[in-house]
Amino acid sequence: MIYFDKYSYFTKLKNTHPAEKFVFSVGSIIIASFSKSIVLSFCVFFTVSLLIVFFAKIKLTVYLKSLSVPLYFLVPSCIVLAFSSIKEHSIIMLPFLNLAISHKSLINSIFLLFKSLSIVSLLYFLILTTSLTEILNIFTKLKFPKLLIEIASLTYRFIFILLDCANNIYISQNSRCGYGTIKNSFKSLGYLITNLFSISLQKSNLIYNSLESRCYNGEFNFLQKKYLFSLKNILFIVIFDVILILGLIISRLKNIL
Amino acid sequence: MNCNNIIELKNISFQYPDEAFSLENISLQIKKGEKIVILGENGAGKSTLLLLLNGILKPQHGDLLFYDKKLNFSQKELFQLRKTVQLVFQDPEIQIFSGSVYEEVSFGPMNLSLPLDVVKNRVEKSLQTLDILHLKDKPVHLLSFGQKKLVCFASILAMQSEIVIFDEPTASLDQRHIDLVLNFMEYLSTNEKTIVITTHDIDFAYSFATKIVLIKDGKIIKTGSPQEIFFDNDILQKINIKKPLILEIFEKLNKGDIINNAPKNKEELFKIIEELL
Repeated sequence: MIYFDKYSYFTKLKNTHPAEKFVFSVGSIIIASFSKSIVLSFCVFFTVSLLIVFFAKIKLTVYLKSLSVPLYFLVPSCIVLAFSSIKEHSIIMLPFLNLAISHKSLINSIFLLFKSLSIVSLLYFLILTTSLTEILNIFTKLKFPKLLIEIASLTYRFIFILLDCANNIYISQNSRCGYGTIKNSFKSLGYLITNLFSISLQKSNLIYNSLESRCYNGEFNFLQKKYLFSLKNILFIVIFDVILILGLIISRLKNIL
Repeated sequence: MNCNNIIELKNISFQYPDEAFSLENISLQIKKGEKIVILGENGAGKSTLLLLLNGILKPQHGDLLFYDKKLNFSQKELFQLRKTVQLVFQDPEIQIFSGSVYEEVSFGPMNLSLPLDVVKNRVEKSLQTLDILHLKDKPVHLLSFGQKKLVCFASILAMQSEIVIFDEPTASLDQRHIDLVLNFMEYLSTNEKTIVITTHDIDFAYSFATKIVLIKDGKIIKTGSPQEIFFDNDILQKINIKKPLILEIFEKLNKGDIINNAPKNKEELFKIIEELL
């Protein structure tokens, strides 16, 4: 899961314009968050999942695995939400705890589950098809503060260096029985953390040297890859979002009626 | 006389703030088109010397002459120096800071404030020269060590600097990548770049260098042509360096005028052996 982002470099959609993917995902998230119907949210979740698996060609197992992460949080919280104090029309009753699941609360929690899933799937669409550097480029174009973007891009790179470093220290400790007993484990972990800290400091100095030697002037300027807009994709995004809005209006109208 | 020096170090001394290590009284001239190899044990001060050449470290004493003009270490002068002198670090992990190969290679040229299409040309040409154009959209953390090294070379090549400095370019690489590195050196030297290398590969140093610098405990012990250095048995012993295999074989074969007829590379040695047979 650590190398989760690698899928974005191998998907079928890697050469589509990142802005298209960004608009599709973020635009639909905004619209989908106004949904008040289970059917609509489920349809969004289902279509976007199809898009991810068949259009972006992300393996189904990979997608399901990545969905399982938010599900760990979603399912328990939805179960908790389904319970309320005992009323007359309850389906399941736990009298000794004075709790029950009513028809309304059950539907409510299922709705919440699918609404969250529809938004999560849209977010995954962006993450699984667009690399972080491209997403940050979009933020640059949207005139986000440069400092934040630079910090994010450096963090992205150095997370991997830090993990690599920590992993190497761990292996070297473990191969010398550093985690044999509980007492040793604590000691080794302490060494690992202090060592990691001093190595980070040292490396950051060295990296600064390497930046300096390439005429670093306080700003990270990169050449950005050129992408082409595709009319087909833009049309698709518009149609998808219009249908979504129509669905939203119809479901709301039905509620009123 | 020495008007073709690009960089000259004049009696330079440098000490790290924690006084852990110092370079003393370093004098070195780098002329256009030279291929300089710096030899010395681990911790002798090779890497520190390279950082001095790039203006990253500022010496406490002595002068750094850049095109015969004393460098005052102002931002403007340092920019000019770094435009001329590029440094490939030993560890690619510390040189690569961007998430994507394409961005990494474009970082240096972008800092030179060149027009965008010039930058694009340079990036693509240098990726092509190193035959890693297929890696351009790959994330850096999924590359192998050898590939990362090649990306570093590409990012330096894109700077099109006069002098290229390598800190142990062949360290911990496999044979295929070592060959690629050596080819790259040849490519640079045919393109009339000035090259400064630190290495522990004596055979390579002997056949490649036009000038060898021996360094020990922060001092330059001797500077000279490969022949001058490698026939000086006393100094080799002092600095714990072996003789290149080619020279050892040659010395065993011939007892005449060794210094002038010494073979430069394997092919020349084979020719001499064939003549003897």
